[in-house]
Amino acid sequence: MTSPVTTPVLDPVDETDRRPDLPWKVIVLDDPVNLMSYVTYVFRKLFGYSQEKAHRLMMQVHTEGKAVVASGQREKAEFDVYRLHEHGLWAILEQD
Amino acid sequence: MARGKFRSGPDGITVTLRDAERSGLAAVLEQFRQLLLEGTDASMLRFQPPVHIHDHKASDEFWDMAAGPLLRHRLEALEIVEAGLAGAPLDDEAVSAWMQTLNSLRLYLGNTLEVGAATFDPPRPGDQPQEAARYMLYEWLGGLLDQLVATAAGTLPPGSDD
Repeated sequence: MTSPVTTPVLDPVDETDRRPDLPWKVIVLDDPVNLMSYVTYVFRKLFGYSQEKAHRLMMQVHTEGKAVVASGQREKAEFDVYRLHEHGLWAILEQD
Repeated sequence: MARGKFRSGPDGITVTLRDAERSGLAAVLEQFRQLLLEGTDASMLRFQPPVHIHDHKASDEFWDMAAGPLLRHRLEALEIVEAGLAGAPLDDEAVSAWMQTLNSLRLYLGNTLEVGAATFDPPRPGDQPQEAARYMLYEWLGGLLDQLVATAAGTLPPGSDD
């Protein structure tokens, strides 16, 4: 988690293309401050992932700048984003 | 299991800080409470970043709903940490409060110090005494959080690969 804080460059989304039946992705972005051990712990605690899966996702965030950590209907995805922000992780929403 | 200043036992996790650490952390927590309540410091923007990168209106709507509850949550967590400074065992809620608060303090300090900048160099006490003191605090909080994570990780269920 060592990259500087920048607004991530993601694929543009045409708002008119949003379809309510498509799931939403919960994406965690890299942050230069959060400890790797803490991020792994939060993934385990919030999503019930194994240590191996949580560590893999944390490393994806660290090396690729982001990782999809959950997905679902908008309300559930927004709740997950809220919980991640409670823990200080920078989470965003994107629709498939 | 003991990890530095934290020890896991049948009643929860206990934290043992030296008197100077306890009083120093209490002072930092009070300063952070004021920052949360004022909400005007630029580095506090890290606590409310965009959640819809391409849709500012949706992002604003999210924070219109979430900012108040999240602020209350952070203030409550801070109070739990203050209550735990005396050394009483931390239950699951208190462990979460400690982790979130220690991490929030690091996020604030890390952003004020710009530790993520490509040009970042740890400040030296001789040249930048105030920044150096903040950086020492940032590092100390990181060590404390890492120890707590290591202690608490053993209490989580094995979890799933799905």
